[in-house]
Amino acid sequence: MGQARQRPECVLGFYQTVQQPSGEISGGILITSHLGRPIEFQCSLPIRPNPTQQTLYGSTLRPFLVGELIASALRDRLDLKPDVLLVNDPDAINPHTWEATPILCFQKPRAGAVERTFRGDVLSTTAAYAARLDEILQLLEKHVPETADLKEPLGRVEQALKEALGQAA
Amino acid sequence: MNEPVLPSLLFQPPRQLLLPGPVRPSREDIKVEIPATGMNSALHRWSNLQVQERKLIARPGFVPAWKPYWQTPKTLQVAFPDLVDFRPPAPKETDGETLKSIRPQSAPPAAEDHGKPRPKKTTRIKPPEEMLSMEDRLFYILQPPLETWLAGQELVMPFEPFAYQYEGIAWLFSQKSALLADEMGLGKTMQTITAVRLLLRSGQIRRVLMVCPKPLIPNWQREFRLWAEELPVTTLEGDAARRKMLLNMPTVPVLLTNYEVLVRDLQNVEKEDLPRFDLVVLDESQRIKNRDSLTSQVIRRIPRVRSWSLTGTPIENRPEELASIFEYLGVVPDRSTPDLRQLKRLADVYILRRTKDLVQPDMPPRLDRDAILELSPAQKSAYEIAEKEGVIQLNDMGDEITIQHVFELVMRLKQITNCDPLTGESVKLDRLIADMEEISASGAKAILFSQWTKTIDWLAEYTRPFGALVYHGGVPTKKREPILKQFKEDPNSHLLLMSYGTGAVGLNLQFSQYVFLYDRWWNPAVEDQAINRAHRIGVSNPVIVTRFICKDTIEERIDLVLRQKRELFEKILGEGDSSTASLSMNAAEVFGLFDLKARAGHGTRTIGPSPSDQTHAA
Repeated sequence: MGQARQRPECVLGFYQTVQQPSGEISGGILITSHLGRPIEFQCSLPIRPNPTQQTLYGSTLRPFLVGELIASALRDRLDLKPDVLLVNDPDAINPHTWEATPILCFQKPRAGAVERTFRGDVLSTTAAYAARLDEILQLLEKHVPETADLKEPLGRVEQALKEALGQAA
Repeated sequence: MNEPVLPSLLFQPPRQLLLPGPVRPSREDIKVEIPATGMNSALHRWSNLQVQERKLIARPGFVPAWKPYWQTPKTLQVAFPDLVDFRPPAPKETDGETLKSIRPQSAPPAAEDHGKPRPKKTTRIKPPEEMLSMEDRLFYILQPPLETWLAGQELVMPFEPFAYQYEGIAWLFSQKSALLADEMGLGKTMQTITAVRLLLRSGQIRRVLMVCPKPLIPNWQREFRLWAEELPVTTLEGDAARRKMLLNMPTVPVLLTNYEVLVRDLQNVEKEDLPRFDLVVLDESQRIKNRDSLTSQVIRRIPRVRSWSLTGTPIENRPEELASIFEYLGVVPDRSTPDLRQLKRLADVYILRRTKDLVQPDMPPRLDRDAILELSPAQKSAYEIAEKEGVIQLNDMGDEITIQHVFELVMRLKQITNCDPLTGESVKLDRLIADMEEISASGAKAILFSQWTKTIDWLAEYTRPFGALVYHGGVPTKKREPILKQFKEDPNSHLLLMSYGTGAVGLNLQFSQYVFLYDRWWNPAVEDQAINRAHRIGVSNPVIVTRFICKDTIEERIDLVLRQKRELFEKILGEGDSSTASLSMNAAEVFGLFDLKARAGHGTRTIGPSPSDQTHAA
């Protein structure tokens, strides 16, 4: 019986948030190997902005919560930082939070979007990562199997969050 | 203070005035211009305002203040153990079979949508209902779909499992107590090995004890090599000292043994000295159907975290047998006697059972036909004499009659239906040879089952032209695998003669199109197991099953009783699941075969030896 690898050739992060009808939001990050095997999962307990916060943040509230507050808390707790972060929510793209870790989104960002098609999926990112986009895609191309469904782990995160929130079907 | 110069643009005089009404003539010295806007020319002058600084009377009593402070959200972590690597064995050139890594099937062109393949159905691992820990539940939820996990990147699979097999693997993976009761031939072995493999590789377990009937040891070894080639499987064998060492060796991931050896090695071990296992798997777990048997007691004492049980016939005779298995699984208290309703509820949670009809609607059918045969004159004469004398003797015994006495008569009569002891006439043999001539001419293969090794050896003499091979308990274990291989590969070998005890379980003979039941077993479940050696996953042609039943004999009466009893246990494991209606006969029914009344205390006792015992009988 040998020892396991310490760090896979390519580490992927999948960040997803879930908002309950009551307004509470929680988020989770699943760190996987390039083959989709889970390595680490961090999720936040739900937070609920009060009316003052809702009024004063206005339309910036959700991008703040999703892209900054929750993401920062999860990022700080991660033992293994991903080589690339995949999200499905434009509000989650916040270069200030993730700094050197590039973020790819399955939906178009609100501004400054740069797009590429990767194995049938349109992946977008913001101008902050535009210069590195080709390099990131090459990394994925090299390590992630052709048969892999890059969106699938986001579904796992969503289900885990619902389970954690007691919403599991 | 000089007056400021005003911008001329603002104060240019109007060029023409249009006054709305009569205007009083103005004096020349006092010329007042009244623009239409009502502005007075006096506004040309700056007001002479003097500004003085004054302090407020008092500070406001309330200053609203808000700082954008948010408390950092609390987080929950789930850590996953690293994948455990096992060193795969060096490839053998003589294997003849090349393992290939499977890939998820690519969708057919019709299933494509805008150039992108439609995602394949995936199988997710679900946490068990009774699992309460959030971390544990998330651990299972966050595992990748099995199809991804087994797609060949990290774990090589020789063949793509069927969808129901993926579901079975996922179910086993998350269960601490599980009874996999798939109908025979659906791949319980493969599902178990793959689930064990995933648990070992993901670091969830480290020591597995696999217990099976002795004849199945080579089968499990072979299947492990096929489905989990990298896992070291150690068979518990050798002298007592070696076996003791193996039982306690922590670095043996999979320890394979049979019931007899395990019971012998552990029955006298103190509880605190018993070896501990993360998982104990019982194959053909009907072996512990009697909770008072030594086997059951010894196995229940083994310290373990997970308990799995495999059987295609969880109930052979009585619901109590299922309760005994549940006791091993640890889901009912010791000595408890759950009623049918409770058993049904437990079955819903801890039993996974699929039938061939359910999972393989397109599987070639199994065609049963009863060959009702008239005894030959010599057989008929011998039979009538034996029955007449036997019944007289039984009646003469009065209250001293026991089930064993009746049982002996039944056995004797059954043997006569197989072959007349004096003349060697056998209507069954005649029919068999007639059928085999047709089968061998077509190049097909057949399996024949009998409960007597003596009958099998006798038949081998007469079926030599069909390349008959013998496989029963009298054949040394080491010679059994080559026999099966020869039967599979030798085009001149058309018939395999097997005993129920040795050949009924665990073998894959799906290349055989014909099954003969030369004599009937006491229990249809055992017959079903035997038939399913041929009628299992992978079969490409219908399997024709011929049951030899001699008319107006004990065989016909036994058959009638067993048929009438099939309905009762469907209630526990579901309607339409006829293969579980596996009932042997109790004493009252055996007495009833000869119009004898069962003596007190024998009413619910079942008769008939276990298949393994019976193999060597007669």
